[in-house]
Amino acid sequence: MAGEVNLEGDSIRIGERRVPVNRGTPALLAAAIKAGQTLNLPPPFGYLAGDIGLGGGSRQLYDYLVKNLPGSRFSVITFHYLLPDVDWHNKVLFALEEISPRPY
Amino acid sequence: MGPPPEIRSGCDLVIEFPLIEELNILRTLREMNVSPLQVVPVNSPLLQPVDLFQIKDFGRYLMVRAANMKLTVDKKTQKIVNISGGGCPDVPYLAREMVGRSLAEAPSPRDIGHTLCGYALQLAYEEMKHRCSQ
Repeated sequence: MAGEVNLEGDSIRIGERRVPVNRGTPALLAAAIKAGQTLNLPPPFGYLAGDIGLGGGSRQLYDYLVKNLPGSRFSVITFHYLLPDVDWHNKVLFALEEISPRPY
Repeated sequence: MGPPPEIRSGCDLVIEFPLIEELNILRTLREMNVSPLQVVPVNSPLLQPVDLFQIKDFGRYLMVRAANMKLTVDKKTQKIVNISGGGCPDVPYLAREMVGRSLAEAPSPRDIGHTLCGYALQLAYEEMKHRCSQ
């Protein structure tokens, strides 16, 4: 799933999907939203995939990022609970280099 | 064992072996396509491997840390109250499956985990079971 992430009560909302804030990536996104509110910044844009450790969701996410990051205007990008894969990391790095100015 | 902080680069584990066996061990590992990131002699106290387990007693709660994974249990009920650490995608999944259940009821990380974080959590889980059975 990809889209702007907002906080609604005890859940985050991305598109039509609501995810409870209890741990992991939803907790990180909720904290980023609250920090953004304090700093008067827009809500974060999130890319979420399900992965229980076999790597399938992570690889889908890498693939999506490689195709969709070039042309975006992000200034900061954070990866969270993603299965490490050197080849895919390098492909995402090349995609990030196409963004000007390059995000942190 | 965990690597000493000076040479730690991520989710690493360390294996100690007698120096005289180095060539044989490296050859065997290379043949199995699992070459080590680094081979270093323990020639300084700073390069001593650190104990994989760290224990923190919070009174009612006991936390066992194995490598980068932490497991916390209510000593009275033996219920798992928190799992944290690591960065592999099965960590939130393991937490969802295990938190709120007792050590006896919870599934073993070995059975449902898939990564080095899952392996480290299994070690913490075994250590916790051992300590809670005493």
